[in-house]
Amino acid sequence: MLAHQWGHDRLSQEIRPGVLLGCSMRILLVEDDPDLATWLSRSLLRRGLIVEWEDDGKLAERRLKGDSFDAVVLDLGLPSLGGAALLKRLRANDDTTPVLIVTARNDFSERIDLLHAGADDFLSKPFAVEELEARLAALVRRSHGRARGIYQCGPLIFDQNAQRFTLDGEVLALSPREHALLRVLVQRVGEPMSKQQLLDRLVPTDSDLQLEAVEVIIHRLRRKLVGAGVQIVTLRGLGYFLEATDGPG
Amino acid sequence: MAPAEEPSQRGLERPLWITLALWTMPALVFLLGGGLLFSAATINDLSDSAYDRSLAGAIRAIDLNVSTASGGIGIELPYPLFESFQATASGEVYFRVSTDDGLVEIGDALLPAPPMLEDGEFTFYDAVYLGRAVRVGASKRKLEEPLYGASQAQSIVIEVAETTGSREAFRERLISRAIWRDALTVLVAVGLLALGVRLALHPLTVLKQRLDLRDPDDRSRLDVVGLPSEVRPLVDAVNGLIERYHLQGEAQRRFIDDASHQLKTPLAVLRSQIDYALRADDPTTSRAVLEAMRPVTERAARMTSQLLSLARARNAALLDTSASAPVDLATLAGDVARLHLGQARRRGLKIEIEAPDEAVMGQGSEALLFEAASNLLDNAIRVSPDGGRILLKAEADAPSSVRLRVMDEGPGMSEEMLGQVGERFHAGWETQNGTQTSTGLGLSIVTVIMEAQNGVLILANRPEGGLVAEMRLPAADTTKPLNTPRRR
Repeated sequence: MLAHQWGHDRLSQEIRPGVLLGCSMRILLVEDDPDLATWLSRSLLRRGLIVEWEDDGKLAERRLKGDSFDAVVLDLGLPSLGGAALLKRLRANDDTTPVLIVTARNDFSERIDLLHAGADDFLSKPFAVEELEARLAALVRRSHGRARGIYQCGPLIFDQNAQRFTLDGEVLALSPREHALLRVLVQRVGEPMSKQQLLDRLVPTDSDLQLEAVEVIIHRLRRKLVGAGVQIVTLRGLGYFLEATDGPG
Repeated sequence: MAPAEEPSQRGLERPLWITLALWTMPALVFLLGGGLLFSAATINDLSDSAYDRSLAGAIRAIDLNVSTASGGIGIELPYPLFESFQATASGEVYFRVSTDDGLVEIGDALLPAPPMLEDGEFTFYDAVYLGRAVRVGASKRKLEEPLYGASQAQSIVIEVAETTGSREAFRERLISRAIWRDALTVLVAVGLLALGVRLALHPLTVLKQRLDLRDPDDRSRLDVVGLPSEVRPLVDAVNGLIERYHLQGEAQRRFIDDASHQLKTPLAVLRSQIDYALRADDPTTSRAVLEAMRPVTERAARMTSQLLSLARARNAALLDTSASAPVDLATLAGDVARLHLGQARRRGLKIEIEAPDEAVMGQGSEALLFEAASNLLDNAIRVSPDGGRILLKAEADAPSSVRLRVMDEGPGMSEEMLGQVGERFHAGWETQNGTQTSTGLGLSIVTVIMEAQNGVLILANRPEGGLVAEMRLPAADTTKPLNTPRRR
């Protein structure tokens, strides 16, 4: 459950928002330390993001009601209204703006609570500005993409409305089973899925399928993706997941 | 002991002397009551025999005054004796003289007849005469010669009765005196008990005063001299506690020393870098210094969060033992692997998990074990060569123990380093370029956590190269039904 967030974002941070979305991201930074806020804003501005800053939870809440942002960078320790409480109120108001939590604590159970409360990602203080920017880009891309029914991993793009995969802009010809399996993988990029989990998600469309068949389908998909800058990785004991290969690292 | 436990413990808060009294008094009262019943019976017997003797005296006096010279029976009552007798009995005295053929009857004819008597026999018994309780003495003897020319000599029966008022009063006086004596005994015993307890506990009061006056920094042991042997274990336990606090305080002090060193060093480095950059005229130099500052910051940040997490693990080990529950190490390995997957994939590392089909249930705090496993995997990722393979292996290695092993393909550790793990922070392990940071601190965290979970961290080099770090834990009590489906 944790892994949805981390795996996804870390693996797909190679794409800049400007390139993908064609416009600058507008970010609300909620942080009570003026030094950190100032320097963070400057760094992000230089990278082409539009950053608005609030240093108080209640003011930030008011701001979010009246205005719309691509993402919120939220500090947990805030005066008047804590970050966690603000997040809960936001989600209670059906506000789906992606929220990246910036926290000084590295507490496993706190993270789980925040994930349940609707946090989209975490970053521990201190962090590199590149990391923050990449995570924000991934969040925004995911939220915009999902809104439009677009899922992407490297050169592979799945358009949910058209029910169509494209690889480097070319339509990818897939059998119905291959299509169903690749769809499951592309919707959970970086999140390992066991054979059984994959099968469970295929069964409604194809109830005769056996566990071994998953291997066969994966094998065929791999042949179609070979050398394309995206691959299906297998890790023993964890499962299969989709990963872009031409990013940094 | 925690205050306000079960209600049954509350009874122990009453004073000791009352507890002792509650234990001893019922037995004492029971014993004295039994004694009282016994002495009441004795008193009855004694008073009866005393009073009966005077009845017997009266019978003999009458007997001596019986004359048969007239051919019938004549009695000259011994009036002076009767009067004195009546006076001592302080009641009424009755008598009857009769023959066994029923022809003669002298005196109070309505006195109940005696039971069958043998000649020469004396008897005493209780009876009722004219509605009053009386004690009757009776005797029977053969006359020397027959009366009224009868062929055989008759027997003469003499009865003397007295009312029992004075005898009862005498008894009651004796018994009430015995009751008073016993009650006084009980009271004195309780008093002595209270006094004895107070005297016996006096050393404790002195001990309390010594504790009250004790300097908070005084870490010396409490003196057991002059304390009763029953109290010594308590004092020894207190001494043990003082000792542990002392050790803990010592560990805390060392931790703070080490932590401040670890945290101040990078700050000092940064400070000198800034000063150097400010003096540099050439922008290329400034930029080079800035670039050099970055890994220092990263190292300091990682160090800080590890120091904090070490402190937290220590706190949790001291304070929080309640979170212990059955934990499936296979699921834990999966979760930890997923958490670090992104970090590992960026370096092209493969994380694999090997676990049996059934759950590998260990006993411990899931959050702390997660932290420990996360540290081990983080270390493994840091030391692995690019494209390397890390294996997480969960298994039950004995009926009562389970283990999670993290195996990497890194450089392993020298024998010296293996021996030092968990002792203190090993700043010597840090390399200054920040590529291989604070392995020692991470392992200290794991050591502290495993100790708190009754487990152990075992490190060894793999024969094929690389390190294997093993978290070994007691197995969970599987007799209880477990409801932890494996996520796969």
